[in-house]
Amino acid sequence: MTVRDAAAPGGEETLDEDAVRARFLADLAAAGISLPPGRAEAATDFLALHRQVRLVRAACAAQAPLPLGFAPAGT
Amino acid sequence: MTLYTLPIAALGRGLRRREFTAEELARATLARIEAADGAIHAFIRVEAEAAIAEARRADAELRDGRDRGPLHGIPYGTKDVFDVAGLPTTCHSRLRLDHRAAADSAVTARLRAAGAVLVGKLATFEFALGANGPEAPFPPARNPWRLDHVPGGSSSGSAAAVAAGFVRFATGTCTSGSIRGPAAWCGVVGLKPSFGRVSRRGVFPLSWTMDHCGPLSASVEDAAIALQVMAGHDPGDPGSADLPVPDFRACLERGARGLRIGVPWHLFEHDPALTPGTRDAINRTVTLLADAGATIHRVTLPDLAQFLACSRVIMAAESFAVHRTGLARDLAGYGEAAAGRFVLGAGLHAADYLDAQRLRGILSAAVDAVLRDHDAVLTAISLGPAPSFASQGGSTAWPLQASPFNVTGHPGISVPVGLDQDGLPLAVQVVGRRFDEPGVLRLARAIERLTGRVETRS
Repeated sequence: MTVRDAAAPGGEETLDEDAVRARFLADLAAAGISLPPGRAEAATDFLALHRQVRLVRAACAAQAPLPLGFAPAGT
Repeated sequence: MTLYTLPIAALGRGLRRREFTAEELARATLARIEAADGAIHAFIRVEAEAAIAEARRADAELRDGRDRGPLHGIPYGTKDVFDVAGLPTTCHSRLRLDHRAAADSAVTARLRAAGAVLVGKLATFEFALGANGPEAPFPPARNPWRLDHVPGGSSSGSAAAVAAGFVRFATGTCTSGSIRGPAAWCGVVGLKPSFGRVSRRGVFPLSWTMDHCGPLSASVEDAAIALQVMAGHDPGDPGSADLPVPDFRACLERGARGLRIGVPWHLFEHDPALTPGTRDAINRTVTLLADAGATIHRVTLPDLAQFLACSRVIMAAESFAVHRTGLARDLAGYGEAAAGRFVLGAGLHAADYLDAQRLRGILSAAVDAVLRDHDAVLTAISLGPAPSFASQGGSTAWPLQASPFNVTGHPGISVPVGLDQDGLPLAVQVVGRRFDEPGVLRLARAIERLTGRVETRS
């Protein structure tokens, strides 16, 4: 299902939730992890994390167009 | 004399004046745990014999004129993610019940060398992340203020043990609020030092670029005394800062006069989770500080959503890296809550993690910029008091505002500022410049004096 992503900046981007879930399950399988039927909701939980990824990506695009390097905080 | 109500400094004076012995103090501590922890479940393991032996050794040393400093003979508990040689570090997980630590963690070793007396290991959430479900090997810690309310987490047992008056301080770890959150809900002080101030060597990692170790304590002065021992450079921790350790009590009593304090109201004032009691407590604290001679400014930090997103992506990626092999080998061995969170990192790609680290640099610079013009930031820690177990349904999606400063690495402390109308503790958070724990502790102590310290439950 493709939905408008209200969490995206401007709320204009669309998110193919089924594709995100499918990709997550494929990534899990590639890591050798298979979810038992009782824990299938993790794929839905991943959608929330994916929205955080999109928020981070948008913030970087707006504020840090060039990867100038990262110094870990406090070091 | 009720030994457990005395501050660490007073306990130290009593020990040196021979008013009581470390063994008597240890026995009083163990008796109180025995009498009351059956309902609170702060401790998952009590080391009574070892504690008595350590206390006797502390007494013998004091008699012989060997004084190891302010923690000599003082009982404490440690969160069960810190290695203690010969004991299991279970991380509150079924998967590690047979573990035995080969050596002390750096913090354990420092506390041992300072003569502190370890009385036992404290409850946490599984691997310091997921909530404790029915499959957990130990019962969840409960909030001493109201046993049907959560203590917060993941340093749940540490906060509960201090709040219950079992110990004056306990160790904790904090990746997204696990020291300041439970401290706030249990009415104790919780100090997350600067990233790099306290070594994480020998502590089970959750997210290594955001993991911090620090004390939870019954007072700000107790926190300063505990941190003095815990802090210091350790080449065994790649994140450890090779910097001098200042005297954390040096400016503790200087008060708030002359301090410039920034308050980022926008982070919390319009959040629907903010309770009237919490709002009033923050406002009252600000007014008291202003009356005491501090200047208060409204400041602007980046949106909370950016901090939270950055924190969640980094933690998901790093914690998955820690647990990837374990999840593939024995997913069913993990509790449902922990497994459900750890597996999410499998769906992140390298660029997602790197973007989060890029954003982290921007967010850190924004906090640094505010702190260039201000001595400290005062903000919310929790938007409400501790919720009940019944209202949670196993969720730990709590209204905390601690994780921004795990992302940036600035020192932060949770200070109790009274009770709400239902008698549950409320708190505020003070954040300071990198490695300015003395400044953070000074303002925290000023708040403690102005608002009246919340006593431990007796």
